[in-house]
Amino acid sequence: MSKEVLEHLRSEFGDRVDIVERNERRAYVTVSNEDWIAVTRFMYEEERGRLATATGSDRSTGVELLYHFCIDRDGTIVNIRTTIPKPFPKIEALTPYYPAADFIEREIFDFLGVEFIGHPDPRKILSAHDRPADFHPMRRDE
Amino acid sequence: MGAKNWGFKKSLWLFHLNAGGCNNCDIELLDCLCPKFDVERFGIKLVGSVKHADVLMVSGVVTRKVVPELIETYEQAPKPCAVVALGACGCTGGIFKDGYNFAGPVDKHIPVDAYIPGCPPRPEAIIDGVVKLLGKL
Repeated sequence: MSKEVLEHLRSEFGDRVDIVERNERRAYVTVSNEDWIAVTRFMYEEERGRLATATGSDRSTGVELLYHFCIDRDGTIVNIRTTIPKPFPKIEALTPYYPAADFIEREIFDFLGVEFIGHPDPRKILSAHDRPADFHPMRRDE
Repeated sequence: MGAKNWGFKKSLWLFHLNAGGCNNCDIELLDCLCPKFDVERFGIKLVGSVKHADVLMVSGVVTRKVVPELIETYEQAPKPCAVVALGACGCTGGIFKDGYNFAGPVDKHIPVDAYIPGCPPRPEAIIDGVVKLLGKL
């Protein structure tokens, strides 16, 4: 049950996580940038969650990152959220621990300009090759 | 009707190229070939290589990365080859005409013989467009 997963998160991290349950199959967990890698590694290694995809959006306070972990044994999704302050957002990469995050983090770097520290191959993946290096089309700066 | 066009009017072989679109026009094109509208009874079929094609159907909005591939595919098609721009994105850019990745409609890069507007065009509209193309040849 996803209640088990949320209980494990609460007992492991205490009040460093802020859990909101939208309904019985969706939960949103807000963490800080410093605890990001610990919580996402916990979701993958201990809870055996599957990183389905990630969402990045440019809010006024910073770049909001959401990693969507599917708990396949009971059909629930736990979303881990953090907000990274601009203008030069940096966060640790999950790719050294979870290879499936490779292309996902490259795409977030390409479109939003978030630098992933420790990523083995930080190149852009979808923009055209003749764009300048600081071309991040999904930013709302202008 | 010259010697080159004599064998060209019946049972066209199509090659379909998706130039970076959302795939809805591709689905409608495949609907034409499936049993309900069934243009395959006229001998029209999809081929796997552009070197076997009589008609090059380009669907989807042309992005910056696909322009060299589009031009190369057109140059590799043995002439006479008719080009059809399928969908609103191929004709004028559709809703993406102000996008950062839009590289111009299809007729900016290769010469086009028929335009089939719609988002996506219905199979009846695609058949109507191909019939008009045949009338022009």
